[in-house]
Amino acid sequence: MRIELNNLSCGYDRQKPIVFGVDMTLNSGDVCCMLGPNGVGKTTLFKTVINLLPPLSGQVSIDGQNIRRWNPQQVSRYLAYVAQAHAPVFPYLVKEVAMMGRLGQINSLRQPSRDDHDIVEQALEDVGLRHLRDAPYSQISGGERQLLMIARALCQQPQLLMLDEPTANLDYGNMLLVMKTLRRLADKGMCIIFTTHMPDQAFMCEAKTIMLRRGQAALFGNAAQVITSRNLYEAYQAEIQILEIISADGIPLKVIVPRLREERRENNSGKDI
Amino acid sequence: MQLSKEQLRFSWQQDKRRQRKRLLRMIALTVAVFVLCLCFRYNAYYFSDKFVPVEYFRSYVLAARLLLSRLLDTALWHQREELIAALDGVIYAGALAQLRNMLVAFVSGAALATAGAIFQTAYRNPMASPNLIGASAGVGLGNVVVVMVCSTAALENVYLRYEYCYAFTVICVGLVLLLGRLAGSRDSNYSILEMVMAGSIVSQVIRVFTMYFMYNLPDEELVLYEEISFGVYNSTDKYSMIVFFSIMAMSLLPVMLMRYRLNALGMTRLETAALGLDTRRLRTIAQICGVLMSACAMIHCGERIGMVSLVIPYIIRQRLGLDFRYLALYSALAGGVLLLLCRLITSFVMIADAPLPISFAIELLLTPLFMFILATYRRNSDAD
Repeated sequence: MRIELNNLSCGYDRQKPIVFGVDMTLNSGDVCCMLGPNGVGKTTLFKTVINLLPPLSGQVSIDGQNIRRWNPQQVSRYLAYVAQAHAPVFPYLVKEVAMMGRLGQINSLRQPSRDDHDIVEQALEDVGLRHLRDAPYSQISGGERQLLMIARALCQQPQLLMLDEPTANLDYGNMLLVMKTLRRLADKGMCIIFTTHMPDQAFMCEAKTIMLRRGQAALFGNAAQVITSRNLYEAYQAEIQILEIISADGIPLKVIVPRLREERRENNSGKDI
Repeated sequence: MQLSKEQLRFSWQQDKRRQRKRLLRMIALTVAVFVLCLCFRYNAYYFSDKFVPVEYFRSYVLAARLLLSRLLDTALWHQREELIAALDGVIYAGALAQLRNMLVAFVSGAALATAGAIFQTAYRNPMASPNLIGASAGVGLGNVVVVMVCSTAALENVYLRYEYCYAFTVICVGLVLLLGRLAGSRDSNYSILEMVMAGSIVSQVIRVFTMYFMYNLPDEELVLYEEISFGVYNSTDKYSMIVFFSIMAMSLLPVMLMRYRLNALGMTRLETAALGLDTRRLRTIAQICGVLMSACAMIHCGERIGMVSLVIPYIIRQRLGLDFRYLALYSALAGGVLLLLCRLITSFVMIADAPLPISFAIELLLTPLFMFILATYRRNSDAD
């Protein structure tokens, strides 16, 4: 599968696009990390990609076909959206939440069949949650909830997963668990786009990166090309350093460090530090 | 890791077995209560022998035979008068009235509980009910207007009563849905908060009119209105039966058939869009069906029986699960059983020579039960 976003602009008002100039191509097995400050339009971009909002200009195409005229069910066979896990109002069981991933694939008057059950079980197994299938959603940890959201999306049997801040509010252990699962899915051929406020994760997954900035065209490229101090400053209006270190096992790593002091940038007047 | 066929089959069979067991238990309970109710006399407080299973079941068998003979045009139908007289005319009429009465009670209870389950899932709030968007307000206004127009003959004018009640409910709910839609955000057809606000405003306006008309009713008519709204009377004439069962079939059947799909009501627009669903139409259909079924139950059984919508889905959610596939089914059965029992109680108890209204029986039965469930239920501690 190949998804292309060509000169895409999105938003609600043609005069004031929220996101513009998005040009990117992803293939099966690619991981793409989306960076950008709060409120820059990441969710708006997702809504446009899954055809919920019409693009203001440009187009989204899958395998060369513009998806604008596709119906929701057609889109759902390629793209799945993973919402941020949150505390539920009603404590559904894990297997029930996962089964909801089949909602769009089953005729509205029918009940899930044996095949649907098998798909759900396999999805739970793929994210390592099958042992919790009969547990209430409210009694599993934050990381497990996020994995469950991923399993629900996998039940659609999509080829591209879009995740909205899958590691928000997670501790290091759970964050790594989610990242490992994403990496494993990508290795199986799934294309993955996720948003994050931790640019380190782009280096961690050797991901392609798209960076959204207020009032400027989106940047797309390899993590090393896009994640620079200057670009991070333009995106977040904050001084952020990128340190290159060698880890204890001899592997070169890049570490992102936000700085509290603002005056150094002023002194250096725009020069990258 | 790829799961083996045996592992998949095992978990499928295990889930199926568990659900089948629960469903069979619920059906067995429902059938038992229904059969028990059919053994008691219609308006039992007027009779010394209240429990007449043999006589009543003979009547049901005869009624079934007569119905069959009428359909197949056999000779039995022409001997009906002698056959009924041989069985005792009072017993036969009483048995059929009891059957109709209990059927209306069961379907009303099922409808109210299902409507509650729909609204609580759609509004993601355990306190939601169809009354939120004005179902009971419309019925109330319809009842008071018909009493005003027909005076004490309101009970005989069932046709006019249904016309007013359904018309006001449709106006009230239509207005709420329209307001909710106008106030909704750009990419979804309504937001829950706006819908609830629109519902409470429109209901309030309708209630003001209802109160005004009530205030101007003479004492005798006011008492009649109160009796209708408390559900003292249960119209089981042929016309009422046709209206009741047609509306119930139109609203309950689609919900029961779509009960898996209706799980989508509890999700955000973005989530359902990504799942390949456009829930705008589903949401509107579910809400209209929910309002229609609960309005129908309130028109035919009294407008103050809405508590069933709140308590039954709550109990079912705590005890039997949240998936709408089971929630709708079990709520319907439990709501039906509850109203059967309430109707049975009302046929035994008289207060000051007047029959006990069904809404009283519901409150008396449900409040302690609800208190007990709340007190014994320890909310699942949240991991966060």
